[in-house]
Amino acid sequence: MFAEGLGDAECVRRVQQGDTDSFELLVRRHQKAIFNLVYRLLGDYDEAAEITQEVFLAAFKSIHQFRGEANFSTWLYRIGLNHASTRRKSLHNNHQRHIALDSMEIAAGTIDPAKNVEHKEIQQQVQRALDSLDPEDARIILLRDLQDVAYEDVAEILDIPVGTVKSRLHRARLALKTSLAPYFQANWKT
Amino acid sequence: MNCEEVQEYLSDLLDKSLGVERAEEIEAHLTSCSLCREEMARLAECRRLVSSLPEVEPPVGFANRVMTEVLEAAREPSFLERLFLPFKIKIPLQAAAVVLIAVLAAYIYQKEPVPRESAVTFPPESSSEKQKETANLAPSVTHPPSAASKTKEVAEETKPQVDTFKDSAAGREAQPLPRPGEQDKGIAGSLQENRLAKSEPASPRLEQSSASVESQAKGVSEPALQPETEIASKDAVASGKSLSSPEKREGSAASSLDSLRSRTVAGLALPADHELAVRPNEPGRNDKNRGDRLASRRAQAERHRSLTQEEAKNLEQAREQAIQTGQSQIVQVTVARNQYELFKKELADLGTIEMESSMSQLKNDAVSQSSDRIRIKVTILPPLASQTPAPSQPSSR
Repeated sequence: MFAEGLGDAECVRRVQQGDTDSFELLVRRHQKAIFNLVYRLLGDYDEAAEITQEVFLAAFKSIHQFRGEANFSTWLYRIGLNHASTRRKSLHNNHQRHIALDSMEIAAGTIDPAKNVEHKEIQQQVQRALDSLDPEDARIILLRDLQDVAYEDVAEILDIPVGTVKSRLHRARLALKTSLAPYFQANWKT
Repeated sequence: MNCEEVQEYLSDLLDKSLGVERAEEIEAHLTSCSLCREEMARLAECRRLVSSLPEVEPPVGFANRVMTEVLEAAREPSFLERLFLPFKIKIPLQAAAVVLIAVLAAYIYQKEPVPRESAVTFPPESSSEKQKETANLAPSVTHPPSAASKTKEVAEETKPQVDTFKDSAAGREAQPLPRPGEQDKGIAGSLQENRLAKSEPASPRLEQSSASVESQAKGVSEPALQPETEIASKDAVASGKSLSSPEKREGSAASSLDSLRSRTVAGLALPADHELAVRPNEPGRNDKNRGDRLASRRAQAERHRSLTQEEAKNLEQAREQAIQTGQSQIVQVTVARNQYELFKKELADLGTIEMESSMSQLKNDAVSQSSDRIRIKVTILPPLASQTPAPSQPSSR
């Protein structure tokens, strides 16, 4: 998946032989993707940091179970989604979710301050819409639309057929559209 | 294709995952259908909004923190390794566990429940000891004079009835007490004599007892004695309950005797020098023959040269009481020392002497001081067939 340096497969092989430095390479290579997936799934920055840390630790402890049949990132996504889904359920039940947008670092350039506020409001709306989705719908939308993971990889991560991925994705997008009705009402012009 | 079918493929069209022909078909529909076009636009906007969410950077030092935990996890033994300790640790640990379990098991085993002690305190000598002593005696026994420490045994099988011994001559006044179960109160009252009166040195005096054991205890003015007398009665009753063989009779007699002995030792007003237990030869209470029997016995009593007429009468009455009530009766007589054997022979006419014992003589009364007179406590046991069922005795465990 990454051409630079050692590939994921080689790193995993070395980690399995006891080389912890190779695992650090894997951590630095995949931390942002996993962190963003977990963050968008939970809607809480601190929770996302804690869960992502758990994800990598779990991956290290079970590294010997990875046989290399799939991409390491796919395997890592699966671990991440499992941990995040569990925590999401707990946060949803306890109503502890909050969106810490202030702590976000916007990596894509500098935004006009006037637009910044508008963008933040829209982002909040989108995040709230994602939070309101069914966990399965939220996961598939984030994998496909946020992380741009291929259908086949999504199918492997979620352990479902590709056709099911497509139908679920369509259903999830329709659900998201419904959740974003306030946005469309305020910003959409037919 | 209708709008519903087209809308099913809109997401695929967005993702460019449709085949060429399907895609062209959908796009042709969209050019002519504003609703599907609107739907397509909204779905595309949703995808855009999600994909345009800003990428968030993990916390600073996140990778380092992860590696710190990873390195710590790398040093920890696995669950299996923790489960199976090295032999040098596991074997001593298991051995210690086995030893501990064995010690606990032995401790618990030793701490078996102690046999529950009876709520009733028994006289000094145990029942088994009494039984042994009694077993050594022949049915019509001649018990050699025992040592001072030995107490006399009375072969009572049922609840003895002991009256109040009033001994004004001894300087100790027997306190007359009400007796709920007293049966011969009149006789007892009329027969109250001062045994120690020096005006009657030659004639044995009779004091008939027909009251309950508790009354005797009270009359002795020895509060400590009362529980023992009660115990004695209970013991006698209980022992009488199960008698069905000579051995059992002796055993129960021994227990009864022991209780009475304790009374005597504790300080009855007039402790007896000898104790005899006799069981009438004619069991059962036959009211029809009662008068004839009484007359015949009175005649026999008159033939008892060792006793006065009144003593013989009282003895006979006590015998009748024992037969009628099924409870033992105690009679105390005083005879000349050289007439003791004769008295025993005469007593054999009443029934079988089942027990004989003697105890050390007390020095503090006029009778014992005169060497030619002795006090004899005669316990008339009820016939076997007329025994009163004894109340259940607390069982010892």
